[in-house]
Amino acid sequence: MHDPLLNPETKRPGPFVSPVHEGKAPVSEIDSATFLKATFEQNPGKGLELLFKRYYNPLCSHAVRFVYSKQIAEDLVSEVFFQFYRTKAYENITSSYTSYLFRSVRNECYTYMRREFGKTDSLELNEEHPISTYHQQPDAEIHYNNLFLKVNEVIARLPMQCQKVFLLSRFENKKYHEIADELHISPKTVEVHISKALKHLRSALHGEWMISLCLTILSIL
Amino acid sequence: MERTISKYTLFEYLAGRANPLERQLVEDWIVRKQNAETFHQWLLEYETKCPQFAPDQDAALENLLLRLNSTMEEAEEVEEGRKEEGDEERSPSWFGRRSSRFWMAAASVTLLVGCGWWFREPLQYKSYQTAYGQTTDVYLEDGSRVALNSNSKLKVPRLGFWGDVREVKLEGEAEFSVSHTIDHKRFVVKTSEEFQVEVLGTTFSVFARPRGTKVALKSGSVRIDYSQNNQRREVMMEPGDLAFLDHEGAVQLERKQDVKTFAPWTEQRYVFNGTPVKEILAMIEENFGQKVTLSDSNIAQRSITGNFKTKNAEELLKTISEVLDLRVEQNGASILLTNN
Repeated sequence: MHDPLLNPETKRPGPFVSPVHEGKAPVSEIDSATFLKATFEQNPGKGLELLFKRYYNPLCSHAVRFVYSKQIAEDLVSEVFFQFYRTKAYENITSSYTSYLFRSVRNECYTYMRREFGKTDSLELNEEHPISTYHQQPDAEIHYNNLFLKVNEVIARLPMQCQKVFLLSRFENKKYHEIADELHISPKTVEVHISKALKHLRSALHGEWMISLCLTILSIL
Repeated sequence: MERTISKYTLFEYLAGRANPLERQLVEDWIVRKQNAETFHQWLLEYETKCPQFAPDQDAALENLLLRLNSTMEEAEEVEEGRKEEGDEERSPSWFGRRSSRFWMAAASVTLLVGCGWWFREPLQYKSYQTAYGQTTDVYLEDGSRVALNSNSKLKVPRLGFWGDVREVKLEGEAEFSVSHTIDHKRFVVKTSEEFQVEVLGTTFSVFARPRGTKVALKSGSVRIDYSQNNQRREVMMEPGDLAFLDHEGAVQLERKQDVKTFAPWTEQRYVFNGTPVKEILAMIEENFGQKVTLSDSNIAQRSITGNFKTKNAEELLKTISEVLDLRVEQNGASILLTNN
């Protein structure tokens, strides 16, 4: 399966984790969760702040794997926190905070990508549904994973210069003329590279939407 | 059979390095509901361990709190606004809580209405104005003709005559030939808030200048409505009558005048019938904007009788000076008449 010698630290839990331990979160996690819950009960604002400080960075890091833009990733994650607080979702969450936030962020990213890169979005079924219902689909998580892995793959396969331009534009949020200056190419070329990258993404992700659309329709039926 | 995967395998999978077999294994594991919590837990660990970038957490938190505060306040405002509606005594605080956008909108509406009110005259009325020495004919939509003397202004409703009154406003001098309408619509010439002439179908001239107000009736009949000391009064006129407003604000009638002398200016003619020079000069100033002064006040008392046809002040003055044996001297912008 893998060579443990290559990555010694990650091996710590061991390749054969006992099922009993696996189903539950580590002790420290439970402690902090109860602490957070208590804080939310007494002072929701403080609870939000704690939650934000603990989860914002990892969530952004995860979101950026989908959207490949720091700015958009941060916006999406902030939106999740915003809705979480505004709708008072913290009052009745059944899962752990970790689980809730990751699901929400992944769903948010998925929706965003579909809107940005989906070709024909005549059926926006996904967006109409509140987060929780879509989460009940067990393979939603696999879809999310496939999506960001696919995005990663497509970008990795792009020609060097094209990839560079795309990352500068999207990930670093730079303007076309700034990229042109930096790479000593004409702004026109930058545009060509960007549209090429987007075309690749679109065609590669097209299949994803088809599958998810069918699944959504099936789940509704 | 319950199969489990290691955290390491999941990490490899998340990094896109898992082979198809591992991938299948991981996905089978994720699908199972009881593993969801663990999956997210490990995901958190993975993202903490190998972050893609370091966002500015503090700035982001600040933004979020700002956004939340403003939304919460808005929500509160709406709620409180609803609660306090109909609660008269607490209305000051209700006013205070209105958002600035509301006040902006209110201010704009007020400004717009105010402007509309301020400009209501130019919006409502089309004006015809004549320059010095220029006369013009205005034909109204009801078929009436208005001959406008020089230095005069006529205001006619832009959108036509509505209602049962045809109302125009006049400053200066004009002769009206009012046509009778089938529905007997009254025609009203307003010269001020206190003075108006009302007719059905007739020809008459109205003189409304700072020097005084006069109405001369050629044919038909008119009624003059005026107010003196805040009392409404009216005078009926017959053809040939000349009515003028005296200094006390009362209307005096001079009966049986020669109708030909009423509005000779319509054909650029000036008719004087024992008219004092003072009056002629005032007329010249009104119609041509030409100021004329006299070297001797006795000249002002002399009078002229005659019928002059002229197009400008110079010609008229030349004729008058010849008749009265005076000398015309150009003195800057004004003209000086002296005894020879």
